[in-house]
Amino acid sequence: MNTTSEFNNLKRKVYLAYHQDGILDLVAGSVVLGFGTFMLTDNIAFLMAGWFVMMMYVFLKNRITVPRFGYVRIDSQKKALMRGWISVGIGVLVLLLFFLLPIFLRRSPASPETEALIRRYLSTMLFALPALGAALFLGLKRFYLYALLAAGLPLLGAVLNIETYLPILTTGLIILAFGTVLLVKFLKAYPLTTESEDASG
Amino acid sequence: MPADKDLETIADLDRIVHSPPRLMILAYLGAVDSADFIFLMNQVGLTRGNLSSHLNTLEEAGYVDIQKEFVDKVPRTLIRLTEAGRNAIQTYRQQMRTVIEELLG
Repeated sequence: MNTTSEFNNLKRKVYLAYHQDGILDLVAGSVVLGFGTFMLTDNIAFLMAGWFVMMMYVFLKNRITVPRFGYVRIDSQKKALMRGWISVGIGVLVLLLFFLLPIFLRRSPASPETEALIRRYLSTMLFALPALGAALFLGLKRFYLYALLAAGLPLLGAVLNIETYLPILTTGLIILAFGTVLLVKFLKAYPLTTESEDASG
Repeated sequence: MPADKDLETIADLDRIVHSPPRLMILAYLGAVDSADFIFLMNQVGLTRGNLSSHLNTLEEAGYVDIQKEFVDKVPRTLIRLTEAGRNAIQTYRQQMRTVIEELLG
Protein backbone atom coordinates (compact mmCIF):
# COMPACT_ATOMS: atom_id res chain seq x y z
CA MET A 1 0.00 0.00 0.00
CA ASN A 2 1.52 3.36 -0.93
CA THR A 3 1.31 6.70 0.89
CA THR A 4 -1.39 8.05 -1.42
CA SER A 5 -3.74 5.14 -0.80
CA GLU A 6 -3.13 5.38 2.95
CA PHE A 7 -3.96 9.08 2.75
CA ASN A 8 -7.07 8.11 0.81
CA ASN A 9 -8.11 5.75 3.63
CA LEU A 10 -7.63 8.55 6.15
CA LYS A 11 -9.46 10.98 3.86
CA ARG A 12 -12.35 8.50 3.68
CA LYS A 13 -12.46 8.28 7.50
CA VAL A 14 -12.48 12.07 7.83
CA TYR A 15 -15.20 12.31 5.20
CA LEU A 16 -17.41 9.75 6.96
CA ALA A 17 -16.84 11.36 10.36
CA TYR A 18 -17.77 14.75 8.88
CA HIS A 19 -21.12 13.32 7.70
CA GLN A 20 -21.79 11.45 10.94
CA ASP A 21 -23.61 14.50 12.34
CA GLY A 22 -27.03 13.47 11.01
CA ILE A 23 -27.64 16.78 9.24
CA LEU A 24 -27.78 15.21 5.77
CA ASP A 25 -30.27 12.67 7.16
CA LEU A 26 -32.39 15.39 8.78
CA VAL A 27 -32.45 17.36 5.54
CA ALA A 28 -33.29 14.28 3.44
CA GLY A 29 -35.96 13.21 5.96
CA SER A 30 -37.52 16.69 5.91
CA VAL A 31 -37.73 16.69 2.09
CA VAL A 32 -39.36 13.22 2.05
CA LEU A 33 -41.71 14.15 4.90
CA GLY A 34 -42.60 17.43 3.18
CA PHE A 35 -43.41 15.58 -0.02
CA GLY A 36 -45.51 12.99 1.81
CA THR A 37 -47.44 15.69 3.69
CA PHE A 38 -47.96 17.55 0.41
CA MET A 39 -49.43 14.37 -1.11
CA LEU A 40 -51.71 13.99 1.90
CA THR A 41 -52.91 17.59 2.18
CA ASP A 42 -52.36 18.91 -1.37
CA ASN A 43 -50.85 21.97 0.32
CA ILE A 44 -47.73 23.02 -1.56
CA ALA A 45 -46.41 24.82 1.56
CA PHE A 46 -45.30 21.45 2.97
CA LEU A 47 -43.38 20.67 -0.22
CA MET A 48 -41.74 24.10 -0.08
CA ALA A 49 -40.92 23.62 3.62
CA GLY A 50 -39.04 20.41 2.79
CA TRP A 51 -37.03 22.13 0.06
CA PHE A 52 -36.42 25.10 2.39
CA VAL A 53 -34.79 22.77 4.93
CA MET A 54 -32.62 21.41 2.10
CA MET A 55 -31.45 24.92 1.26
CA MET A 56 -30.49 25.34 4.93
CA TYR A 57 -27.96 22.47 4.68
CA VAL A 58 -24.85 24.63 4.37
CA PHE A 59 -26.11 27.01 7.08
CA LEU A 60 -26.74 24.08 9.46
CA LYS A 61 -23.32 22.58 8.71
CA ASN A 62 -21.63 25.91 9.45
CA ARG A 63 -23.64 26.46 12.64
CA ILE A 64 -23.63 22.95 14.10
CA THR A 65 -20.83 20.85 12.59
CA VAL A 66 -17.96 23.25 11.94
CA PRO A 67 -17.78 24.85 15.44
CA ARG A 68 -17.66 21.37 17.01
CA PHE A 69 -15.91 19.09 14.53
CA GLY A 70 -13.70 21.83 13.15
CA TYR A 71 -13.36 23.16 9.64
CA VAL A 72 -11.91 20.81 7.09
CA ARG A 73 -11.69 21.14 3.34
CA ILE A 74 -11.36 17.55 2.24
CA ASP A 75 -10.87 18.08 -1.49
CA SER A 76 -9.20 20.91 -3.35
CA GLN A 77 -11.54 23.70 -4.48
CA LYS A 78 -11.43 22.39 -8.06
CA LYS A 79 -12.47 18.87 -7.02
CA ALA A 80 -15.17 20.20 -4.67
CA LEU A 81 -16.58 22.33 -7.48
CA MET A 82 -16.61 19.34 -9.84
CA ARG A 83 -18.34 17.19 -7.20
CA GLY A 84 -20.92 19.98 -6.73
CA TRP A 85 -21.66 20.18 -10.45
CA ILE A 86 -22.02 16.39 -10.70
CA SER A 87 -24.52 16.47 -7.78
CA VAL A 88 -26.47 19.29 -9.45
CA GLY A 89 -26.46 17.31 -12.72
CA ILE A 90 -27.83 14.19 -11.03
CA GLY A 91 -30.48 16.30 -9.25
CA VAL A 92 -31.58 17.92 -12.52
CA LEU A 93 -31.75 14.51 -14.23
CA VAL A 94 -33.93 13.07 -11.45
CA LEU A 95 -36.24 16.10 -11.54
CA LEU A 96 -36.47 15.94 -15.34
CA LEU A 97 -37.36 12.27 -15.11
CA PHE A 98 -39.99 13.09 -12.51
CA PHE A 99 -41.62 15.96 -14.43
CA LEU A 100 -41.13 14.90 -18.05
CA LEU A 101 -42.34 11.33 -17.85
CA PRO A 102 -45.91 12.27 -16.75
CA ILE A 103 -46.04 14.75 -19.68
CA PHE A 104 -44.91 11.98 -22.02
CA LEU A 105 -47.53 9.69 -20.50
CA ARG A 106 -50.29 12.22 -21.20
CA ARG A 107 -49.27 12.30 -24.86
CA SER A 108 -49.38 8.55 -25.21
CA PRO A 109 -52.34 7.66 -23.03
CA ALA A 110 -52.11 4.57 -20.89
CA SER A 111 -54.88 3.09 -18.78
CA PRO A 112 -55.55 5.12 -15.57
CA GLU A 113 -54.36 2.15 -13.50
CA THR A 114 -51.07 1.94 -15.41
CA GLU A 115 -50.62 5.69 -15.17
CA ALA A 116 -51.26 5.61 -11.41
CA LEU A 117 -48.76 2.79 -11.03
CA ILE A 118 -46.12 4.68 -13.02
CA ARG A 119 -46.74 7.82 -10.95
CA ARG A 120 -46.34 5.80 -7.77
CA TYR A 121 -43.15 4.28 -9.16
CA LEU A 122 -41.82 7.74 -10.08
CA SER A 123 -42.58 9.13 -6.63
CA THR A 124 -40.62 6.22 -5.23
CA MET A 125 -37.65 6.76 -7.53
CA LEU A 126 -37.59 10.49 -6.76
CA PHE A 127 -36.17 9.66 -3.32
CA ALA A 128 -34.69 6.22 -3.85
CA LEU A 129 -32.32 7.32 -6.65
CA PRO A 130 -30.73 10.27 -4.79
CA ALA A 131 -30.44 8.10 -1.66
CA LEU A 132 -28.73 5.40 -3.73
CA GLY A 133 -26.50 8.07 -5.26
CA ALA A 134 -25.51 9.32 -1.79
CA ALA A 135 -24.77 5.76 -0.70
CA LEU A 136 -22.68 4.99 -3.78
CA PHE A 137 -20.82 8.26 -4.32
CA LEU A 138 -20.50 9.52 -0.74
CA GLY A 139 -20.01 6.07 0.76
CA LEU A 140 -22.68 6.67 3.41
CA LYS A 141 -23.89 3.11 3.94
CA ARG A 142 -27.05 4.07 5.86
CA PHE A 143 -28.30 5.67 2.65
CA TYR A 144 -28.59 2.19 1.11
CA LEU A 145 -31.19 1.53 3.79
CA TYR A 146 -32.94 4.82 2.99
CA ALA A 147 -32.95 3.94 -0.73
CA LEU A 148 -34.38 0.54 0.11
CA LEU A 149 -37.05 2.13 2.32
CA ALA A 150 -37.88 4.81 -0.28
CA ALA A 151 -38.26 2.17 -3.00
CA GLY A 152 -39.58 -0.74 -0.95
CA LEU A 153 -42.23 0.82 1.29
CA PRO A 154 -44.27 2.47 -1.53
CA LEU A 155 -44.09 -0.75 -3.57
CA LEU A 156 -45.21 -2.71 -0.52
CA GLY A 157 -47.96 -0.11 -0.11
CA ALA A 158 -49.01 -0.73 -3.71
CA VAL A 159 -49.23 -4.47 -3.07
CA LEU A 160 -51.21 -3.90 0.14
CA ASN A 161 -53.28 -1.20 -1.57
CA ILE A 162 -52.26 1.57 0.86
CA GLU A 163 -52.29 5.24 -0.22
CA THR A 164 -48.87 6.34 -1.59
CA TYR A 165 -48.39 9.17 0.94
CA LEU A 166 -48.38 6.79 3.91
CA PRO A 167 -45.22 4.84 2.97
CA ILE A 168 -43.55 8.12 1.96
CA LEU A 169 -44.41 9.71 5.32
CA THR A 170 -43.13 6.60 7.10
CA THR A 171 -39.87 6.72 5.12
CA GLY A 172 -39.44 10.41 5.98
CA LEU A 173 -40.07 9.79 9.67
CA ILE A 174 -37.61 6.89 9.79
CA ILE A 175 -34.89 8.97 8.10
CA LEU A 176 -35.61 11.87 10.50
CA ALA A 177 -35.37 9.50 13.48
CA PHE A 178 -31.98 8.21 12.26
CA GLY A 179 -30.82 11.80 11.72
CA THR A 180 -31.91 12.85 15.20
CA VAL A 181 -30.09 9.95 16.87
CA LEU A 182 -26.92 10.73 14.87
CA LEU A 183 -27.14 14.42 15.72
CA VAL A 184 -27.54 13.74 19.45
CA LYS A 185 -24.53 11.36 19.36
CA PHE A 186 -22.52 13.94 17.41
CA LEU A 187 -23.36 16.74 19.87
CA LYS A 188 -22.27 14.51 22.76
CA ALA A 189 -19.06 13.45 21.02
CA TYR A 190 -18.07 16.94 19.92
CA PRO A 191 -18.83 19.68 22.46
CA LEU A 192 -18.71 23.28 21.26
CA THR A 193 -15.09 24.42 20.95
CA THR A 194 -13.59 27.79 20.13
CA GLU A 195 -10.09 28.73 19.16
CA SER A 196 -8.21 30.84 21.65
CA GLU A 197 -6.31 33.85 20.41
CA ASP A 198 -3.00 32.07 20.94
CA ALA A 199 -4.15 29.01 19.04
CA SER A 200 -1.00 28.81 17.01
CA GLY A 201 1.89 30.41 15.29
CA MET B 1 32.27 1.44 18.82
CA PRO B 2 31.48 2.23 15.20
CA ALA B 3 27.81 2.54 14.27
CA ASP B 4 26.19 -0.35 12.39
CA LYS B 5 26.13 0.84 8.80
CA ASP B 6 22.91 -1.08 8.10
CA LEU B 7 21.12 0.89 10.78
CA GLU B 8 22.55 4.29 9.98
CA THR B 9 19.22 5.20 8.42
CA ILE B 10 17.77 5.48 11.95
CA ALA B 11 20.15 8.34 12.68
CA ASP B 12 19.04 10.04 9.47
CA LEU B 13 15.35 9.97 10.41
CA ASP B 14 13.72 13.39 10.35
CA ARG B 15 13.13 14.03 14.06
CA ILE B 16 10.48 16.59 13.29
CA VAL B 17 8.37 13.98 11.51
CA HIS B 18 9.39 11.13 13.83
CA SER B 19 7.44 12.52 16.81
CA PRO B 20 4.07 10.65 16.97
CA PRO B 21 1.85 13.74 17.48
CA ARG B 22 3.54 15.60 14.62
CA LEU B 23 3.35 12.52 12.40
CA MET B 24 -0.39 12.35 13.12
CA ILE B 25 -0.81 16.04 12.31
CA LEU B 26 1.12 15.62 9.05
CA ALA B 27 -0.89 12.50 8.14
CA TYR B 28 -4.21 14.30 8.62
CA LEU B 29 -2.99 17.30 6.67
CA GLY B 30 -1.73 14.95 3.95
CA ALA B 31 -5.18 13.43 3.66
CA VAL B 32 -7.12 16.69 3.34
CA ASP B 33 -6.68 19.94 1.46
CA SER B 34 -6.69 22.12 4.60
CA ALA B 35 -8.06 22.02 8.13
CA ASP B 36 -8.44 24.32 11.09
CA PHE B 37 -7.05 24.14 14.61
CA ILE B 38 -10.22 22.64 16.14
CA PHE B 39 -10.33 19.83 13.59
CA LEU B 40 -6.73 18.83 14.33
CA MET B 41 -7.31 19.12 18.09
CA ASN B 42 -10.27 16.71 17.81
CA GLN B 43 -8.61 14.24 15.49
CA VAL B 44 -5.14 14.13 16.99
CA GLY B 45 -6.39 14.34 20.59
CA LEU B 46 -3.93 16.96 21.77
CA THR B 47 -4.54 19.83 24.16
CA ARG B 48 -4.65 23.34 22.75
CA GLY B 49 -1.17 24.17 24.06
CA ASN B 50 0.42 20.94 22.83
CA LEU B 51 -1.06 21.24 19.38
CA SER B 52 -0.01 24.86 19.18
CA SER B 53 3.57 23.93 20.10
CA HIS B 54 3.77 21.09 17.55
CA LEU B 55 2.31 23.31 14.84
CA ASN B 56 4.95 25.94 15.58
CA THR B 57 7.67 23.31 15.14
CA LEU B 58 6.17 22.14 11.86
CA GLU B 59 5.77 25.69 10.61
CA GLU B 60 9.37 26.55 11.47
CA ALA B 61 10.49 23.48 9.50
CA GLY B 62 8.44 24.72 6.56
CA TYR B 63 6.22 21.61 6.60
CA VAL B 64 2.94 23.41 7.20
CA ASP B 65 1.54 26.75 6.20
CA ILE B 66 -0.58 28.50 8.85
CA GLN B 67 -3.02 31.25 7.95
CA LYS B 68 -5.20 33.15 10.39
CA GLU B 69 -8.56 34.42 9.24
CA PHE B 70 -11.83 35.62 10.69
CA VAL B 71 -15.11 33.93 9.77
CA ASP B 72 -18.19 35.71 11.13
CA LYS B 73 -15.88 37.58 13.54
CA VAL B 74 -14.63 34.25 14.91
CA PRO B 75 -10.89 33.56 14.53
CA ARG B 76 -9.96 30.52 12.48
CA THR B 77 -6.45 29.13 12.10
CA LEU B 78 -6.24 27.34 8.78
CA ILE B 79 -3.40 24.85 8.36
CA ARG B 80 -2.18 23.31 5.13
CA LEU B 81 0.61 20.87 4.32
CA THR B 82 3.34 22.38 2.17
CA GLU B 83 5.18 20.57 -0.62
CA ALA B 84 8.18 20.27 1.71
CA GLY B 85 5.92 18.65 4.30
CA ARG B 86 4.59 16.18 1.76
CA ASN B 87 8.12 15.29 0.67
CA ALA B 88 9.18 14.90 4.31
CA ILE B 89 6.44 12.32 4.91
CA GLN B 90 7.46 10.39 1.78
CA THR B 91 11.11 10.40 2.79
CA TYR B 92 10.26 9.38 6.36
CA ARG B 93 8.13 6.54 5.09
CA GLN B 94 10.90 5.21 2.86
CA GLN B 95 13.45 5.50 5.65
CA MET B 96 11.21 3.67 8.14
CA ARG B 97 10.64 0.90 5.62
CA THR B 98 14.38 0.55 5.12
CA VAL B 99 14.99 0.47 8.88
CA ILE B 100 12.33 -2.21 9.46
CA GLU B 101 13.55 -4.30 6.54
CA GLU B 102 17.11 -4.09 7.83
CA LEU B 103 16.09 -5.01 11.37
CA LEU B 104 13.74 -7.84 10.52
CA GLY B 105 14.89 -8.94 7.08
